[in-house]
Amino acid sequence: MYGEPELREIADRSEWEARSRLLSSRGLSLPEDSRQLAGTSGILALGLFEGEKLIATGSLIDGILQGIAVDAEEEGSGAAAKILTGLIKRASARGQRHLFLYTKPAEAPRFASLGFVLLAETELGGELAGMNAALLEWGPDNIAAYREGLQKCAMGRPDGAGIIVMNCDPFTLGHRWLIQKAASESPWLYILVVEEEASVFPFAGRLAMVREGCAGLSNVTVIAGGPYAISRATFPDYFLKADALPGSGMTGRKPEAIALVHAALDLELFKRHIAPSLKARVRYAGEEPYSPTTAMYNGLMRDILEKPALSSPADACARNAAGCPDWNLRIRILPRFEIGDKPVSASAVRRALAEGASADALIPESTRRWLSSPEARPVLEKLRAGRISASADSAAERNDSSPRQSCSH
Amino acid sequence: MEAQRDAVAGSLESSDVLVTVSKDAGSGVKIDIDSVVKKQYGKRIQSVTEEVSSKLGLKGAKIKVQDRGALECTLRARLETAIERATASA
Repeated sequence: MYGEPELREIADRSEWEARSRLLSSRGLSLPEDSRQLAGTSGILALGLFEGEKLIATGSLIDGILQGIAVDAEEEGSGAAAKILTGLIKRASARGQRHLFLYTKPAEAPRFASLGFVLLAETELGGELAGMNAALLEWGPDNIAAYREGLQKCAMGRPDGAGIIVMNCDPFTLGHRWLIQKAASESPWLYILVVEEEASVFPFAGRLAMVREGCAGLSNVTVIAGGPYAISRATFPDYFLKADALPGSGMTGRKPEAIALVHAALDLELFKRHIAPSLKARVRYAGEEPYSPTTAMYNGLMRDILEKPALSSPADACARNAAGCPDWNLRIRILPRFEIGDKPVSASAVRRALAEGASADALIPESTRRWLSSPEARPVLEKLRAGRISASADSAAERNDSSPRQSCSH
Repeated sequence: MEAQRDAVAGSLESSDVLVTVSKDAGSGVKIDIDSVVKKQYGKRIQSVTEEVSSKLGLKGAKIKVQDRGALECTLRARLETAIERATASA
């Protein structure tokens, strides 16, 4: 009313505490609480102050806008717009042009009207209905450009292709077996190599290993995954209220519930944008040792990706910014490749390399060649020195460059 | 003049407009308009944006205009500021 409220970075301890109280009053937890911040770009937290009083706040962590809250009494006064503008401008000054925002589906239209593009939202029912999430993005490099890139890769290639989304950290005989099996039963097969993941081996190296490993297969195309595979490491859960989890049965297992919402959102993105752009109808996956939640995860994949109804044709979806919410796919889960009764896993290879032992029995010749190359040396040294964990739970490095597609052939 | 960097001017507040100019691979200027009054003023916003970017000789850029009901003079001012920031040489 008298004078403009002041927008500035949250600085001292009392301001951090005020921010904490404000978030809590709106039913949100601290974004940084449940995530490791080591190795990320840190947290940028802004506050809108009326005199000494904090009336709104918002944060930017790893290119993700989160923790946006306005004091209940100030709602509708444009405080959220001020906070968002401040975050967008500061991000731009840091060269971060591609921003993501996670929120509850009910809040999504508010951000869409400010220029954010809705990418996907979950439609979970039953026990998880209170935990639905929506993902939006901001910036000149967007999902439309990414989809165009995928459509170019798929041009002239058959409909009904298969897709495998893989990390390959590094590329093992198990990966190759899965790819060969899938390729043998598909008109065409696309391998999406995940960029945004907590990986030991850098993306460029993993992509090279996969391409080398697929060299002999004539109906396989290897594609850079782009920024749209939602990393578990960067998935924020601060807006998923603990008390939205129904029944005491789920409360103690909150991390699993969050993992499911994250998986659901990732699958929605896949269904709406990635699969239709590649004209793909089958998603392949290797059996995941997910223990108690495996059945629930597989069920989720079937609920989200396999729909009984007819779905829209690919070209109609291409014109719709929100993608194809009803593109249906089949899931094909293949058993893990084993050598002598033991599944061949990338973590087993990393462990062997960390111990200075040979992993040759578990990897194809192409991976062995890459591991002997100069690019591999710094990673192998770090693994052996124990500076990066072979179990790779380190925080993901957010990739801020524009989505790029490069088809292998 | 080529866009050297990304630049932002204005705000998302009511009656203002947020203009983002970003470096783009091509040599032309791609324009993306969103407005709370898109039906009534969309065309006018588009032509003003084309006019200002052309007058300042902008090349190799994407302009995103997120209009929240700004007056034309406000739009022009924001466009000029963002383009000048994006094309400044140092």
